[in-house]
Amino acid sequence: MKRIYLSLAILLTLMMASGCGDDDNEQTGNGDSEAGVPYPDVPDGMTAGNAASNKNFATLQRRVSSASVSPAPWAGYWWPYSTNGIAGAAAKHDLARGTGGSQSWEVSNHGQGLAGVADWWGHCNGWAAAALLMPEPKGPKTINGVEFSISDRKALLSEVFMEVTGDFLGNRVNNPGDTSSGAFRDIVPAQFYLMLTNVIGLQRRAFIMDRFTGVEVWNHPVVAYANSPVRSEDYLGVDPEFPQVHRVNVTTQIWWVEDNVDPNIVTPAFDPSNLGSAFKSRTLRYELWLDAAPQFDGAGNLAAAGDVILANDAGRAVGGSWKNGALPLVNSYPDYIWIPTGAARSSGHKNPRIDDAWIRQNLGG
Amino acid sequence: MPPRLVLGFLSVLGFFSMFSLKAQEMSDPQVLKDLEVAQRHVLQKKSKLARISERGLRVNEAIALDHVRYQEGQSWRLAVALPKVDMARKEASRFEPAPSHSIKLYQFNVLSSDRERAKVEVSVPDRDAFLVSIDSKLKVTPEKSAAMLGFDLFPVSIPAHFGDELARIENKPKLPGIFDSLRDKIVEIDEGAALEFNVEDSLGRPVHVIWQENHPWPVYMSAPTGVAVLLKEDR
Repeated sequence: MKRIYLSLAILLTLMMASGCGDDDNEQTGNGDSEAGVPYPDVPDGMTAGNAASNKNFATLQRRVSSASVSPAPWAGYWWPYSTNGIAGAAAKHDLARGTGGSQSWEVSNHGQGLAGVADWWGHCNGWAAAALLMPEPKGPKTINGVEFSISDRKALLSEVFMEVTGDFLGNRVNNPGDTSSGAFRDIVPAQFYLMLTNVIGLQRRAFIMDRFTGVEVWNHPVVAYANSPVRSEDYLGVDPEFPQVHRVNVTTQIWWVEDNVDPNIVTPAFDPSNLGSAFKSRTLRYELWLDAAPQFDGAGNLAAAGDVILANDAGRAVGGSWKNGALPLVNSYPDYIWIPTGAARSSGHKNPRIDDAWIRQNLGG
Repeated sequence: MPPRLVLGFLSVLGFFSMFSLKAQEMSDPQVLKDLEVAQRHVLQKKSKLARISERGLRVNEAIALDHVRYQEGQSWRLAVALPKVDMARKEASRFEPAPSHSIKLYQFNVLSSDRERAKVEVSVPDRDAFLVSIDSKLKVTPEKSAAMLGFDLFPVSIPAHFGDELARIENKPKLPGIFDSLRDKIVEIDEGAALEFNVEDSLGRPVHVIWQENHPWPVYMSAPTGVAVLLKEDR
């Protein structure tokens, strides 16, 4: 029996590895939304603004089971350090302003002059914040005889937001081999679900996630999500040892805007049925824990439920477990989430030779 | 192989894989530990609710605060100390020092107001001015923006019901040193006219709020996000 069981497990693993890899879960083309449902307008009174959280699972599933961000953040590029970051745009900045130094600073600090540069280092954090906070530049612009392309404008805006103020949630994974620490395990499903439903769903605001669970960092603004309807068969009941914790399976499809497109494009409108190159999607599966049993109507649809449990264990977030067996473990659920609110002065990590105000005023969208 | 046999085989495979997955998850010591933490969390929450229920809900003792009605032409300023988000940078490492804060000043101007909501223009540092609406429950909704403006990371809605966490001020909060340069411009807390309570932000994190009578915004808020204080009116 053990041998049969082992064989089945191996076969299952092989099937998952060959048929359900990254590409299967990240849709870049005309992806059918597994959890795809229309995006309803949030009823009056449900745009919570800066209200306290709503954690009731049935309420959130009923009222904001799906939502999108409007206006959607724009697609761009991550200007890798291995190709000298935004040095080309910085040279134009220096020329147009009659100043110098930002191009050479970029090469030395965001380019090949920086020791120990990893091939995944770049400007994705600056781009993600700029894409969320600033309107998209939609054409070239000439200033003092220097023409700035859309790409130049997006590059310089991305540099402005390389250091930002805001809110940060989760613990970043820093060790390449880490797949089990507290930092790796968060963001926990309850944090993820409440961010989606409260921030995007109720408040209609956007946030940024590091989509790469492991040590690499790939920041992207999330533009939409859709939770699959939860039915009676998704309720797992309680474990006899923990009778207050009601376990329910949830499936969520998320969409984010991309940072690896031609930076000269103008981002098309977000359309979940036609993502093009500017948007990507991933389906995440997880278990949420509720503080009261969900109730279902005669047709098996969710009618009532307790609150989503998000507990704090000496600073460690606790709430549910991930079940993304089909995805590579290190690139499945978000490593951390953040919300930028504005640019910060350079403390040495963003180019101190660029003029933030001049760029915003002259090159912003 | 006939299709029916293939389907049958896949069904059996599915059954065993589900069993295997569940068995694996439940044997994960971290999941078991987390379930234990979650169980304790629920029991503590129920105990707290029972205590409130026994004493009777002090239904909005802060009705005194319901005077918050904005009028056209009204204005106020808020100083917010927000942390820098350094850990989102690719080259940031675990050796990154604790995040530094910077102060942002927000200017609120009420453009119009009725019984339901006020239209307010908020000047946001280093960004444009934004129009927001603030309803009678103090819910803030920006127009034409999906971005947080900074001050709105702090929940200010007054809960409909308070338990035993609502209290008159006993000890004034100590402001972080970053506010030193603004100290003479910050609204002073009057213990006799202020109420303090704790709410949760969108992620269940605690936020300490102090409201003071006859002021349009909390005079003090402290959250994991930072600290916000109301500034005196310019005379």
